[in-house]
Amino acid sequence: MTEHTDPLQLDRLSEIIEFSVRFLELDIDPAKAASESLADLGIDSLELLSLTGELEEAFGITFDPDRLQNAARASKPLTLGETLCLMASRG
Amino acid sequence: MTSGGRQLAGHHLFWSTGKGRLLHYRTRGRDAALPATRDISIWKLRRKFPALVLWLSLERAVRTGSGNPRIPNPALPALQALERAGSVAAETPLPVEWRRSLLGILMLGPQRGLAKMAEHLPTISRILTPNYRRMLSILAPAFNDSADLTFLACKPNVYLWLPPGSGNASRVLVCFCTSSNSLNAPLPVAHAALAARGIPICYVFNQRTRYAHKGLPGMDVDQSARAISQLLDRLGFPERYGLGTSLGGYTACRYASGLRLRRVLNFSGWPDKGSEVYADANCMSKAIGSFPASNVLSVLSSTDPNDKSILGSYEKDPFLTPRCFLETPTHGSLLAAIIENRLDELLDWLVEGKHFESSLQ
Repeated sequence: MTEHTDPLQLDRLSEIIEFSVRFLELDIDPAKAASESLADLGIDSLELLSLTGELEEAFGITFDPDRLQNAARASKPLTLGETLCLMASRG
Repeated sequence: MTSGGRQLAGHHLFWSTGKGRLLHYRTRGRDAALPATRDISIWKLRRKFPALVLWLSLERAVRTGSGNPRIPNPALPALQALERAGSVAAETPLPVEWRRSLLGILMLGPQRGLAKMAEHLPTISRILTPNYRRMLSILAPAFNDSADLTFLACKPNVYLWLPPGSGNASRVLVCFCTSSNSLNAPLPVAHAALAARGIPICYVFNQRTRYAHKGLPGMDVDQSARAISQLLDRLGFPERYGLGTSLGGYTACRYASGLRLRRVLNFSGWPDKGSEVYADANCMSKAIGSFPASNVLSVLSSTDPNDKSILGSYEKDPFLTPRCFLETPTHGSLLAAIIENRLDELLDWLVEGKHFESSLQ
């Protein structure tokens, strides 16, 4: 687990990923989706913004779009799970 | 086509029959001289595509400040609140319905809605990424009604947009999209930036179950390129220029010879992971085939981790085209080109053949 995953509990993350796969109608096993990069999943920023809006409503977690910039500055492409964790606000 | 003496844009939509033919629909009016199977019946399209009803409702709400009372319009409260900008404190969370409708405007337009979003950026900034804020701010002057892609919601396989007054145009920009049918900037926004050139634009869209690099429904790539090439011939567009982002960059390279493109602007082109060519180290050089590599300009972000990985793959392939590097960390670098005010010089190279100081000649 990297520090990107701190704000969300792991068991909740799998639930969130499952929701994300359904919402974005991704043709992928949710268990695999968490570890795929956004580019490999074909998710762009606009879809991610739509997704995080729905996640906020469904799970009561706040996501900060400004933090997406940090994901883009990472040394390697972040996975969907890592990106959501990075964007999730701590408080 | 005119409205009150004002020239309007033309819209031509093409759907594959699945049996090697493209059905061709067009708006009536100025472009009526161009052949088509039939005219667009907005009433029929409304029945078939609920998203078009939403678009028309949004457009009306933005234009008149009021909705059609017979159609529930979730966007209306958001737009009316934007009209009263300042009444919403910057720190107040935006209601979820507002967020949905504003992101809906980014996905489909209308252009007036984008202009309104740009006008009220401080109020809505918390639902946007920093890059999207910059993009809306920079492109604010480009948003105008004639750049509306009114029928985007109808999901045609190919969409030809004709700018007002383009009756004698012989040039067309052929654009290939990402797997989610954006240009890595939301399509209506990227379209406004490209439309400012005043050149007709032809979009080749991906279907959810079949991406265009495998061909349009019922056709392989060669048949698809032939069908699109024939329709562009028929409509009088012999001068064609290609542009694509991410998956679309790969697709533009794949279609370059078949469509007889003069040049291709490849923004971070690479096939999708589900594709059988994804693991082929030579997939990009195979995609362009006999098309001259010097006529492809590959644009990459020098800071985005995905684009760095794509650059490594280009080196290994080798896929040796002229290259342009941008600073903004975003994959599919058309958005970076907009933010860094580099899009014009890239389009100058593409459609005017102007010299471009690239890093690999």
